[in-house]
Order: sequence, then C-alpha cells, then structure tokens
Amino acid sequence: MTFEVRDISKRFGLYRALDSVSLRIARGELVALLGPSGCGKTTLLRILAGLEMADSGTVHFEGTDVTHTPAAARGVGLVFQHYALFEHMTVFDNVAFGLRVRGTPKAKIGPRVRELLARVRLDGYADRAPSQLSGGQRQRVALARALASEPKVMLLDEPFGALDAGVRHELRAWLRRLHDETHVTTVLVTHDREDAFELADRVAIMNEGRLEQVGPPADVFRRPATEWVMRFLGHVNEVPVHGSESSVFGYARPHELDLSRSPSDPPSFGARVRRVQAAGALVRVELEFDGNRSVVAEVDEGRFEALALQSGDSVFVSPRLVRVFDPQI
Amino acid sequence: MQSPDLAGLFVSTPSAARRDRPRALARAALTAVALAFLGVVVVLPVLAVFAKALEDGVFAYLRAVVEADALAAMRLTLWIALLVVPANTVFGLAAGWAIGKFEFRGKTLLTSLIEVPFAVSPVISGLIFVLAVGPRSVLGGRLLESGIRVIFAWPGMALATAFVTFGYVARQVITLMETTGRDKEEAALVLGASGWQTFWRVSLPSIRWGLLYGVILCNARAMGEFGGVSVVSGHVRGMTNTLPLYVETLYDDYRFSASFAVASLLVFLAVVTLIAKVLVERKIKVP
Repeated sequence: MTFEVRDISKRFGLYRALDSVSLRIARGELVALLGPSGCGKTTLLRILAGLEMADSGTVHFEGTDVTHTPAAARGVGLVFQHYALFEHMTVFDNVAFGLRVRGTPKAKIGPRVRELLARVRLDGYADRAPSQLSGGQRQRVALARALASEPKVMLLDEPFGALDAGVRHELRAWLRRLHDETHVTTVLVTHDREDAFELADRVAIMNEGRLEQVGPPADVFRRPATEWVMRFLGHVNEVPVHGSESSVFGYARPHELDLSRSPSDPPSFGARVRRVQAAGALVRVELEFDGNRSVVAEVDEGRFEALALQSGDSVFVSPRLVRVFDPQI
Repeated sequence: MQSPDLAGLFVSTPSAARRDRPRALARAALTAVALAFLGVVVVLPVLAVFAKALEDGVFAYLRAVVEADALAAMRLTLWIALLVVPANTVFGLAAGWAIGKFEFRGKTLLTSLIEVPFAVSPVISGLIFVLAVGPRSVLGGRLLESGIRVIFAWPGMALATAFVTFGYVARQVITLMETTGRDKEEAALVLGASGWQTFWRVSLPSIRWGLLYGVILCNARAMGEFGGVSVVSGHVRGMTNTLPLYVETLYDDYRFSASFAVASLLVFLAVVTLIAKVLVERKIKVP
C-alpha cells in the first residue's frame, strides 16, 4: 500500500518545474520534500493534491491510478503555507466544512469536530473567528480541517514557514507526535533542513526539478549523494585532499575535523587559529590556511582545554572524513 | 487632557519641539486649503440647492416633489436602477471571477473593455446606442417593425445606463478576487467541495462587503446618470424623464425652485449613498 508518483514532468512555459520525478511513499510514512525555493517541491505537492496536472507521468494512491482524479475526489488533506482558513467562518465551521460539503449527517459533525479540536488542543476555540487566533493556532485549525474527512494522505506546504522560531520548534515536535498518534501518511514541503531532519522518516532532496537524493535523515546527512546536496545541507568545509594536487579539494563537516599541536596520521595540514567561539556544547574554532582559505572545526570542551587554543596559534588539522565528488556533468 | 510628564515623554527636547513647529504649520495650512476648496466646490453648491429649493416655502417644495411628472421621473429612475444594478452585479461577478481567478486568452482585452466606460464620455456612449439601435439603424429598424422601441424609450435608457455603470461592480470584484488569491478556493476543492459550493460558501462570502460597495457605487451612478441617458431619452415629460433629466426640463422651463427641489432629492440620494459607503468601508477594513 503506497503512494507513488512515476516519471512526473511539468513545465510552466519555458521553465521546467519537474523533470521526470519518481517517488514512492509507504503508508504511514512521513516524508519531507526538501529543497531551495523554486526547486519544484511545491509543484510536486500540488500534483499529489490534484490542484496541478502533470505534463507527463502518473500518480498512484494505494494501487489506483489517480492521475486524472479531481482534487475533490482524491481524499487528500492539504495544509497551505498561509493556511487559507475561511475567514468569514468560525473555527468550528472551518473544521466542519469538509464534512458538510460531503453531506455528512449533522449528528455526526458536532462530535467529530469537537474531537478534532481537542486533538489539536483548541477545545475552547470553536466559536472564535480565525482572525482572533495566533499563527500557531491558525495552523492547528488548518490541520484539524484537513484531518476532518480522514484523508488517505496529508500534504503540508511549508507548515512552519509563517511562524517565528520559538513556536516553530514547539509545533515541529507536536506535529511529529500527532503523526505518531494518527499514522496518516504525510508529505511535507520545506526549505528548512531542520524541519526536514527533525520530523521526517525520509527526506527527498530536490534541486531544479529533480530528486537529488532520497533517504533517512541520518543517511542523507552522512552520505550526501552529490556535491550539491553536500553544499545544500550546509556546514561544509573545503579541505585539501591528501596525495593529490593541492588544487583538489574535498568536503568535511566541522565536527569531522580533529585538531592537534603536531602533524599526525591521518595526514594533516597546517593552519592558524583566527577566532575561537567557546559558548556552546562544542567549541567552534575558525582557522585559516594557504593564506586566504578558511575552515571551521568543532571540538568538544575536553579537547579544547587540552589544546589550550588561542587566536594566532598554529595547529594541524586532520579530517577524519573527506568526501570527494566527481565533477558534475 | 495631557499631564505635563506625559507631554515631556513625547516632546523630549526643545529642539524636537522646534523642528515640529513648521511641520504643524504646514499641516494646518494644507488642511485649511483642502477644507476651503471643499467648501467652495461642494458645500456651497449643496447649500445653494436647498436655499433655492425652499425659496418659495416648504409647501411649494413639497408640491414640486409630488407633482405627477416628478413621480413619473422617480418611478423611471428606480425602474432603470432596478434593471441595471442587478444585471451589472451578475456581470461584474462573472467578469471579476473570471479575471481574478483564471488565466485565459483575451483576459487583458476583457480587463480593458471594463475600463472603457470610465474613459468614454457618457454622451458618447449614449450616441453609440442611438447609432446601434436607433430607428435608422438596421437592428433598430427591425425592432421598431416588431413594435419594440429602444431609443427614446426606457429600454434604450437602461442600456445606456448599464453601459456607463458596468465597470463599477466588476472593478471592485476584480481587485478583491486578485488580492484574496486562489488559496481558499483550492482549499475548498481539496476538502471535497464542488465548484458551485466553493463559489457560494467560500468565494462570495469572502468578497461580500466589497461586492456591496461596488453595488452601492453602481446604484448611485445609475440613478444620477445624465449624459448618456439624455441622448437616448428624447425628454418626453412623464414618459422618458429620469430625475436628473427632469431637473433639466424644469430648469429650462424657468421653474427654478421646482427644479432645485427635485435636485435636492438627488442630494439626499447622495447622502444616503455616502453613509452606506462609509459603513461598508468600515466592514471591509475588518479582516
């Protein structure tokens, strides 16, 4: 039982939004489509919802081809980036909307809506207008509204995009718990690496209409498939690759760099400490080498104290792991 | 009343106060100019209307207003508004909906066409109808043969009024539909609503105040229309005179105070429109 897009392509005029994208999502899974703006992730979500038609390729829900099924009949729940709440209705009516237009008997609507409001922790808010709610509350109304008609799959477009950092963090954890309770298959679109890594079972990284890499967060983080993914995930250092021309560089993350006072094995390179930032769980050391190149290393407090590093000191940097990618064609 | 400490909070230094003085002066001067202009251009003429209307006393005023020809003009004005406003509302909704929510060929053309009545003098629009459906035109001739008189009768007047006023509702609806975007409609669709349910339950309620605003403006313009209607009416007293036309007829007959008495009715209409407009505007601002 899966949700699947096969070979989906979509153009808007000359702009290629999606270029033969295929993705399979298991039932109950939470998948994040991660990528910079304009990478096609929202278009893919809209194609799943039935709001956009692919130029080619097919969409399958649990074995049925729904490529040409209209949005209203697909049984998806969609939460828009700006929630798209019906401002002229109360919270209750918003959540009840999907049930009413589908002709659910009145007697069933009341209890179901109250149950959903309780689930999203908005018990006392049934009679409020959306304009009286905070951003986080509005998002929860949108979630309850989408969940009301028991969708086969939930689609969330930048669910935290419009929230400030504190609320964002809290809602992320809450959304994951909600997913663990409901087990509704969920696809969320985000440009935020933390959103994706913290929430998702699997992350699908997109760039210029193509899937760059799909996998569990840990895999994607440790073993980026391409140079682009490595750079996109951030925290990258370019370090010289040993045994090659000095112009060849590979990638290593700050915590993968060891520092010592003397040259060591595995091969190290000399650098000078530019700045030390000791506030945090790890100590951040900014280093420069080869004149104008710089790297950042993160070492734990014990190591930092043992080294007693100061700005201007000379050290040797030895990467535990260097990733070298074939030049992209 | 402001306490001295509070005032100190706002005007913290003497230099700030000095800088504020010229600004306050400029503000007062601008306000005075605006008010003086309004006084000369709006308030004085309106007062003159009432002064002239009541020149021969209250009874003469009332007699002028309930005269058979005046009542006929009122009936015709209301009748035309009753035909034109709903028609333009439906048209405006359809056009606004199409332009605001969809992409299609000829969208720019349709948008420009809606602006035409704002750009063309009403007299010209009246003449267009005389040329198109007048007695000497092919279409008008045919219609006359089958006993339908369009020009110099109320159907022509309604057409001219409709032409002059059709942009009012459409414009409002387009602006609103464009600013509200497609999100809410799409949300409704995904939730399982049909196109019809989406329109009645989501789109229409979310633009209702803006729509009403457009309808009010359209109605005011329809009832006050002079130029276009004047060309197609033929000024048959008691038959094809609307209120604005009747005001002119009376004036041309040298019945000045009666003319102003009828004109004052239009002033009342304007006041009611203004009040309604302000009330609705307030509703629109509440998100």
